[in-house]
Amino acid sequence: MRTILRVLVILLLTGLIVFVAFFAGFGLNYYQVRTQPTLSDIPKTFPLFWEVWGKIQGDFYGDVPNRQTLTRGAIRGMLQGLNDPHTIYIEPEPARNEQTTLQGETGDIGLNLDIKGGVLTIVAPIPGSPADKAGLRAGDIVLKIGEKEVALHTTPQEAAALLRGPVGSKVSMQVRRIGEPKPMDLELVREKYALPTVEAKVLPNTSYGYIKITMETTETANEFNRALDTLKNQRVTGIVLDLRNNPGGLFPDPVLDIAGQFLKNNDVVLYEKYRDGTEKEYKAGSRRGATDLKVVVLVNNGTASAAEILAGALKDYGRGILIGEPTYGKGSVQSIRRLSDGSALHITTATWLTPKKKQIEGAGLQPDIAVPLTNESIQKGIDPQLNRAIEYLNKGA
Amino acid sequence: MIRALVRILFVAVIATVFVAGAFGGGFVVSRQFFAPAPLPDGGAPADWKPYMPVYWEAWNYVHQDFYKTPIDDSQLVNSSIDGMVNALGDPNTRFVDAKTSAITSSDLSGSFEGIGATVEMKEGRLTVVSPIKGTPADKAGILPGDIILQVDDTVIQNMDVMQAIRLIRGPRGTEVKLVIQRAKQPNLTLTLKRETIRVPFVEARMIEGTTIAYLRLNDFGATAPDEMRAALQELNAQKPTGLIFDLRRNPGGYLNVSVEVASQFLKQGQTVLIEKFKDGRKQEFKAARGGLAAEIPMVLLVDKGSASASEIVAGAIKDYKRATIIGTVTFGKGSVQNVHTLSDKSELRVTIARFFSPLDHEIHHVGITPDIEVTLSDDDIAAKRDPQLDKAIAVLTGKK
Repeated sequence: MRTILRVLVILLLTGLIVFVAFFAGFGLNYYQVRTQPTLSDIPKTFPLFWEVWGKIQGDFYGDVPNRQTLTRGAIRGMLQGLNDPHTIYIEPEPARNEQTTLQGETGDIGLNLDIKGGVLTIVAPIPGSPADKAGLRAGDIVLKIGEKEVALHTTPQEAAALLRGPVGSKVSMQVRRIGEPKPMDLELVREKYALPTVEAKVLPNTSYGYIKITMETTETANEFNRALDTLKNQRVTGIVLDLRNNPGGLFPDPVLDIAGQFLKNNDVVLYEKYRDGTEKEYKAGSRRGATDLKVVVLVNNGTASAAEILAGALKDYGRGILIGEPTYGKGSVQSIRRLSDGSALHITTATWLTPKKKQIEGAGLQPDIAVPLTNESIQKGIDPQLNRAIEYLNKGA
Repeated sequence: MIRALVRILFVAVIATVFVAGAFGGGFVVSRQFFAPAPLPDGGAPADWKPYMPVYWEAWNYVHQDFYKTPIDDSQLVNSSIDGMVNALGDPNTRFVDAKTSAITSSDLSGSFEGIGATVEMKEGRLTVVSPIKGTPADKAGILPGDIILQVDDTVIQNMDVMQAIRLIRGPRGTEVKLVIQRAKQPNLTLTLKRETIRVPFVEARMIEGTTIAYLRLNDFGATAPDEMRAALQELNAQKPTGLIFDLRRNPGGYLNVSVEVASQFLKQGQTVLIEKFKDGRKQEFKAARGGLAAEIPMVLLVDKGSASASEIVAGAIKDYKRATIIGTVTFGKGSVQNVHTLSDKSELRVTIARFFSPLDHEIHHVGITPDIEVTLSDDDIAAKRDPQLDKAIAVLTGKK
């Protein structure tokens, strides 16, 4: 009897497992098929593509590249037709490379790049990086990397792939700074660095703390929390939060946690708005360490992306005023789609709105108190933006 | 002990095989009911078929994900064609969509709609060469040497000059915003209303106080040969002792027009250019008879803005030593484009050949070197001086 029971249980269990496995396989295929994008009909005007190809094929004087290169050119062109600088095509090799970034494993010169009007522009050099030490600045336009001229519509990812290389190797660049008559030639040595992203100190001769966030990574919120605790132990009465040249980085956790430290409630830090009009809310983290401290936020045109979210939230809830220059205006969300040949697309799928529903993309944030940083003051080592922030904390205006 | 282990192993293997088999079976059975739609090739010719599915994959993702709707499909098709054509790596092989083509094809017809400033790319920056008198650019106070940093919202940097010009031009009556950098001044923002600009192909006059005739050709447009003939007849009536022919900043135009223009200065039957095709075929173009300036002592002015058809004429004049060439090395575009008008009125220019000077000198990426090099500096332009023209007059009058 017991043996029969045992066999029966084993048979039943086996049957159950086989059944579950069968349906798992069934479901996987179903899921794959259902999530595959369905093709909207081939556009009526598409035959023009083949008409053009016919004319080229017969007569073109030069060597016609292989069909794969031409197809990739067509995809690149298609995306340019969307007129969105952040929707871009990435060839298989850089597509593989970019999977390794944002994890601190960069062996390069520390530049954050973006494309503005088709032109490759520096968002900000990471403080302490070779790019920073070489004097590169937000807004500089990259003309050449190595001996290679940067073509119009070169993507930041393609450029970053050129800038990366073995640690200790050299890379030359030519950049133009608006207002300078001649382009500048620079040579930089690639480094490997995992720099801290938060710097903090008590400002000399004041009771104010100074926290500089250079970019957002997985460690940033922890570093920020420690910095805030240290400053509170020193009984600071106000905070200067320096987000200048902070190009963003990891989103959303670091900024939600940091914003939460300043906000009173579980407030919405930003809305992500999709094509169908729906909005996703991102709420502040739960630590409330600095709700009573006065805050001034320093921003400039190198303040971008996640950093603009943080600045926008503090401004909209009246928790901090912005001093400095207008921010960069990078506030859109890209999803990465891998294509079957190993290349990838970055497609803008949503835009970011501040808590008061102001769009960040393109517009950026305006400072409450505009204070420019001139070349002269940089040379003299004066920081008028920081000085204005201290004055504001002193006088409350 | 060992037997127990073997037994467990056996059971584990059997179980794994069962589960994997069931999973795989489920997947395969499911495929029978729900098969993924094959990606289309969009009517691709056989040699494209393996590659086009990736294109449609990208197309689908864009339509599924992109945040701004609706998406203009015909715009995407046009820009895809543009991307494919650009991938050929030849800056002179270009696709111009129907809308833009309506604007730019007017170039060689003698008038266009824009602001009326000639421009060039200098160190990657769009620089005004000169505003044409009486045009919106002139009235707005744009000066030679001004750098156009931005057109509407597009930053101009390292851009193909034609692409930049396309941004500035547009239907008359519409407005264009320019951000301009001028030496030692804060950036200016000007808003100009576009107008129809008429540029005569030919300018002719006698140089004051001399017996030297001056003839300038701005473009090798369709009516240029007739205008040239008329102008030369008028000049010849004044019995000039020398002729200055100015091809500076002339970007070229039609190949057959260049042969007609060169024919004015050459003897009948002299070769003007040799056209060479990919398959090794050659075609020689010969000067026609009836040249109105085949004998007169002559100086040809060229600069790095003299391109294409200008270089055909300069190459022939140089090889036959027909004139003293003064100025700077020419642009170096020695390729011929076939212009196709496509079914939707868009336009495709395909590079089909290279041309060489009568003595078989390469022009592409080489240019024509003047006999006497004289540069024109920014300071000269600002001070309205023209040392190249001065040198030409000096050469023709025999002064040093």
